[in-house]
Amino acid sequence: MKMRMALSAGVYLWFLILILIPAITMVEGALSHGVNGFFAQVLQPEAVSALRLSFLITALTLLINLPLGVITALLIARRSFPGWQVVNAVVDLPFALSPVIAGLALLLVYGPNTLLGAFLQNHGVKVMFALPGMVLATLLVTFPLVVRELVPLLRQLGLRQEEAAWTLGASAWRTFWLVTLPRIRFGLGYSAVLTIARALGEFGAVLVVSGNLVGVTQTATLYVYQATENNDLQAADAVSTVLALVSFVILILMQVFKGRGEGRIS
Amino acid sequence: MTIQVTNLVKRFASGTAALQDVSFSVREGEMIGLLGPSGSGKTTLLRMIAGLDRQTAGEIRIRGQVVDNLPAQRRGVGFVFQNYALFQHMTVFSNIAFGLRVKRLGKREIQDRVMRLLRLVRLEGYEDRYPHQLSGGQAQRVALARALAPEPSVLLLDEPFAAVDTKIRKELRRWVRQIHDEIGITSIFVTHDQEEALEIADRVLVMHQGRVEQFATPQEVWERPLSPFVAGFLGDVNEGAATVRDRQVRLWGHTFPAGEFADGERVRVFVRPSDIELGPAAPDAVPAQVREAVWAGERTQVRVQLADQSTLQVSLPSDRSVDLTPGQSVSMCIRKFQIFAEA
Amino acid sequence: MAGVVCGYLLLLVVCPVGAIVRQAFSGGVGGFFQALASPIGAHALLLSCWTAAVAAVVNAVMGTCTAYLIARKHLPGRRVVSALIDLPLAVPTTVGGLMLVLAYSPATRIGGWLAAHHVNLVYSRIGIVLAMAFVTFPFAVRTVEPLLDSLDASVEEAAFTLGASRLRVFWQVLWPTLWPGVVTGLSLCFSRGLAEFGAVVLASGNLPLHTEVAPVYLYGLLENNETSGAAAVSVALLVLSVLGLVVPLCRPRQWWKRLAEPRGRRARNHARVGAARV
Repeated sequence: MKMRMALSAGVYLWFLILILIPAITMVEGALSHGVNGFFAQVLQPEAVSALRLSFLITALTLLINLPLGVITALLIARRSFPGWQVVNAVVDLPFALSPVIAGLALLLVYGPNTLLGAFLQNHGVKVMFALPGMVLATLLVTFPLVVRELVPLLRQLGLRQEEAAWTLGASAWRTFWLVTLPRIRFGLGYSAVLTIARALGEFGAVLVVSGNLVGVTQTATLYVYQATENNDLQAADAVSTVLALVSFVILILMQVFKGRGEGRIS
Repeated sequence: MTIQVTNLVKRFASGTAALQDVSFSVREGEMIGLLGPSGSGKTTLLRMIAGLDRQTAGEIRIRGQVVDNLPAQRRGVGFVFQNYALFQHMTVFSNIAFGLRVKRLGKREIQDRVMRLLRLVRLEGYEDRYPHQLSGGQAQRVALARALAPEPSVLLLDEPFAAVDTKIRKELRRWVRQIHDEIGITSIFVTHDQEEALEIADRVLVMHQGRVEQFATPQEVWERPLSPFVAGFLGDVNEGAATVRDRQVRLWGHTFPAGEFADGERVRVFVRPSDIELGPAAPDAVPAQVREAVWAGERTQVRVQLADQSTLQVSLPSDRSVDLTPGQSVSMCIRKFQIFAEA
Repeated sequence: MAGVVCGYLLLLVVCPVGAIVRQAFSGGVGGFFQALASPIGAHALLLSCWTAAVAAVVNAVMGTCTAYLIARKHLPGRRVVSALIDLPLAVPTTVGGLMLVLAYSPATRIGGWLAAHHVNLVYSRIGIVLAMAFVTFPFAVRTVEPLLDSLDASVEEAAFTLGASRLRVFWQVLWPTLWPGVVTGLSLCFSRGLAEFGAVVLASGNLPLHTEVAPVYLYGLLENNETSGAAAVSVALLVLSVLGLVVPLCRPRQWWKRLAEPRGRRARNHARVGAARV
């Protein structure tokens, strides 16, 4: 009993230092100048455009990585082509990549001084220091999330119900929509939420490829960084609080999806 | 011939052979039991007929048509999976209607047919339940109704009764047989339970290590097994080995005629416990001593020891008036036996 | 389908990473090591390694305790705690870093009080560890949790009724089941800590030769257009991260077996190792 209490106390203390105190201080700080002060900070044009850009990038990332992630997970889980092991390993690579490195890597391939980058630029597509590059960076760091969530889930579920659908005459396409997708919906929801969280919060990779132009390529996290560097803690705090509120919703959604018994960490 | 399988071979990527040169054919409306120990290749065979696995060599015909290149979707085969594989996120109604919706039948027709099937499997009123709200036996019946809904030409059942408990299992298999007779659909079911196969199949296909050991009616398989494996696999059996001398086999104090076996050949003798009779000790009969007697309802299982120290299992009707106290001397008589060459 | 996926991964992952490796060795192997050998760079790499290691170990211990208390329903308010564990996953890492700054910078109440007692929780090496620990905490808990769920509490109770001491129960009953998860958590925490940028850049102070970690140093090089040097540091960091992820997966069974259960009765638990791969 004594030991259990000591253990609990230790866990609580660690929690307090690591998560609780910082979270509370931030909300408190954001509201220190009253609700009006908070809104005045958030509604500054730079802040608004930064938040808008962040949400746009997140939406695009979700739109591209969700379907591609599902396809990749299906291919890996069902071992449906030779060399799936290679794909499986490559998918994990972004996990080991520091965001800054991810940004640098993209810069080296799609930057203005490279073959591909110059070619694209000549055809009127500016990748780096523009929206496409920022989306690309976010795609890179979030790609494993969906795949890593779904592969174990798909393997655990097995193929029986799909096979049943086939013997009943359903095509591969129909089987996916009617049988597979409904079965993985909570896992998919969980990984989508993780993707949103990561995309919205991505900083290092986007910092490198964006050029960080205020009002043009400045995302919400870049804005927070800039404001902190300029010692404008109040502005940083306000935008952070908005992001944290979104995170709060994300957190609740995560619990909902996990509560359905299928969600796991990435 | 509804199903014709010719020289079917299946080797896995690892090189192990799951099926070796399997051939047989099934007549219209027959119910076939695929019987064998686990790992004998029976489920693999079933999955290949359904188009869920592909054979390495050989040919499968369904109603005369070669189906080797047809995917499962287009073979017109109904399949009942071992753990039913019901769609967990759909109601009983949607599960049964699935194959009909895939066929794009009209709403009214789907409704009618599902209701008819629910009546057939005696689950009226369950259409709005989800699979997790069903008992094992009910889920089994839904799986059957779902497989039957698109009116397949063949029904395949993979260990259909394995997951329900013993009492329901007996009921269920008689009932499946009854449904089979009602619609007259050609069916193959996989089982490792010999009692199940013998009870409801028209013919039994006994498999062992990827080969067909015997394909015959239950009675024939039981009474005239073609191989030592079949003799040993169907029910309990006493087994002994001996050498043929003077065109006779001497074993357990008995003398068996050696039949086609020549002198000096090693043979194995199989005797079922129910083919041994015990009586009061008599001077001219083979003597034995009761070691143990276990009363099990209608029959009593007795273990007797012979003069040569070997023991035999005997199954007697419990009403037989023989003194079975352990240590009691009795006489023994073997009514039926099988002799095979030693492999 | 497979073609689409392979093409996508080629453009998104393989080519960029390949480009980094090529750039890193553009000056030959000598140039690569020269770039790493700069005093500031070497210090940054070393600092990254040990802070990430410390954060990983602390998290592994705290995470295992947390997972245990939650799984065995001992912790009052465990539902809230369980939800809060995921907070670092949901919050942008920059916001996480800012939270730490706002709470513990010397300008604040708590930070000021601590600074007066010569403890700096931010703008210091402790700050780096704290930021890394914040970001990676969920991994430490979530990798152990499923293993604890798979181990019925009655197994522990059975050991207690057999007269085993608390320590013995932990070492001989819990640990053999838990270690794959703990090791996986440790490796994930280490790799993620090593890679972390957003939270650390805000909370560390970034003083070269003091609190500048490798990713921050890397970013500085990029700002100054020293692409080759940046690529070299990237490759070094990448190799360390991959090692951190891969090494525990390779042959940990043997050496953990020896460490955890000298009599080698662990064989039956091997089947569970797979479950720890998250």
